[in-house]
Amino acid sequence: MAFLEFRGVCATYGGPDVLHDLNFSVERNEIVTLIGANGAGKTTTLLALSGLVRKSAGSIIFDGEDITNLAPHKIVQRGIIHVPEGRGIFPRLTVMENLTMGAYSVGKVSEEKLEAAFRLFPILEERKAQPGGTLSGGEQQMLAIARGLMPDPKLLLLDEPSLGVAPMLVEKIFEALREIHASGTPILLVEQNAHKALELADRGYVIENGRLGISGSGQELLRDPRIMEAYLGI
Amino acid sequence: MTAEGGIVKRRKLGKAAAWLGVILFLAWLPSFLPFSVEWNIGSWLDPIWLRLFGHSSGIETYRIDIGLHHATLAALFVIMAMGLNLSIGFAGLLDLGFIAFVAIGAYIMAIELTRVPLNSDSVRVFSAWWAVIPLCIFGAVLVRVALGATCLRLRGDYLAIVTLGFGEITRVALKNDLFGLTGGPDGIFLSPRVMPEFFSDPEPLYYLAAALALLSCFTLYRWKNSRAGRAWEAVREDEVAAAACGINVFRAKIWAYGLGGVFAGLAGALYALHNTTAHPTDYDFIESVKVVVMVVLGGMGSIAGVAFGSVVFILLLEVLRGLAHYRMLIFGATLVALMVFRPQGLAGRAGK
Repeated sequence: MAFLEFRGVCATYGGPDVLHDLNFSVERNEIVTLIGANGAGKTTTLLALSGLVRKSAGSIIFDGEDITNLAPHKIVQRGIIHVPEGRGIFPRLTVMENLTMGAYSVGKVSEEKLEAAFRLFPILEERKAQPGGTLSGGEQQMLAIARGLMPDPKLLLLDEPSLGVAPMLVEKIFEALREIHASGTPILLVEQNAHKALELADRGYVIENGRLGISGSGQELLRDPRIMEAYLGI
Repeated sequence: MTAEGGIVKRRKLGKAAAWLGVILFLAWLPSFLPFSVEWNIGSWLDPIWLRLFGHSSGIETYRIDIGLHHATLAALFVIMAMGLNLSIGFAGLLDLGFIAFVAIGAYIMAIELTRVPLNSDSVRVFSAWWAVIPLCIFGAVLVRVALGATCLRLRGDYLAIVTLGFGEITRVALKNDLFGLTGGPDGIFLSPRVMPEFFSDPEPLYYLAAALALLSCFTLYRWKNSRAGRAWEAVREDEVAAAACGINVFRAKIWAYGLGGVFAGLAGALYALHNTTAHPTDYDFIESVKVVVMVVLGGMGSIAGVAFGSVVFILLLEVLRGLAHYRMLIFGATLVALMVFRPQGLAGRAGK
């Protein structure tokens, strides 16, 4: 059985379903990406997974356990850590306090994890006494990712890590994702920047109007002309 | 790095000064009291139509006596402001009906004190006023948790409107003799015969209030640096991110909101003893606004700042009483100036 499995998941914000019959999986040690245009349902898929959006049908199986209807904080305790869209950091807390919050579910922040995060993003160590809101966009994204690493995630969910980040820092962030993955953490990555995401990912799914379309390995999808169609809506 | 160190140092100095100010104020104020302020305001407060025709209201000098009474009031408002600071400052739950929970505490105290019948000699027999305080706290917390459980799923403005409505409902209910217990528009008067002997002098109440105000500040300080305190701050900053960190957002909110009731109930109990009455007009909407202003003025989430802000606010309110309702105009202007020049309040944390 797959590490994470979506089985016919539909999700709703209270009105009609916005996600329809999603079936996909993430294996251990895999980077899987969901790509698609604005409003296709990428973020909603992640929110549904981390319990922040209600599922109206289907089930989500994580590590052999049905987590479909667990509360968000219970899902975090299972090791699924969501790095929200738009660098959801705590702007008035310092960098260090932000990182401490990341370890909330496991109690205390571990020195080892902290060091690893600072090795990955040295700039955060320099800025650790600064309020998070004073960092640049890219640095905030780094902080959000580093915070997600604090509880030693079993599965890392990343929502648009390249959003509003300077191109040079995008490179750095994707480099860091590769390293995180190399150290044994599977990643579910949601991106509008399809090219970068597919280059990094083992497998990808295209999501369109709340439905999964074509899927395949990252390299296959990169060459697939239908990707362009999905984006341009031709 | 040095600039950063400088900022931290300055902030620490400012905080220490504010704390010292509050402690000194609370401990030594009685020795400065009473003093009086005189306002020679001429006739400029007279309405313009009077002045146009060369009339005058004849009131040119106002004399305001500041007594221990005002110091007690300030200490009580520090306790209230701490309770509200917990929900607005820590957890970001805008509450515009806070005074309703103070009223609940006050009415429980007044009802309990007057409930025990006087004996044949008309001498009070109930002296365990302190045993009522936990009941006041319990009542305020209970109602707050019940309200929170139903409406804390709302955010920002919506929550503010629900709490505002609840505050008004409470006041009107009290005014309409709720359960036949609250005495209607007359309120409940605590005559000297039912007032506990402990409060026959104003000083004991002052020192009790001042000590509890300091205790409230200290409690909040401890909570702020606790695990729960960090969770509240995270919820205030970003709910989705807080949930993603594994915080049970709804439970964190209920805790912050409910614990605010502890301070409201406590302040209410003492407020009734201080006023020797529980009266519906003491729990107007404007009172809720006052507490909100104290929190905003001092800096949401800052403890020394809010304590300092409430003391200054209450004293200014009294010193400026000569200006009648114009003083509210001054506070309006002050708040606008604050929003422009220092939106984080006197001692709040900048950012965003």
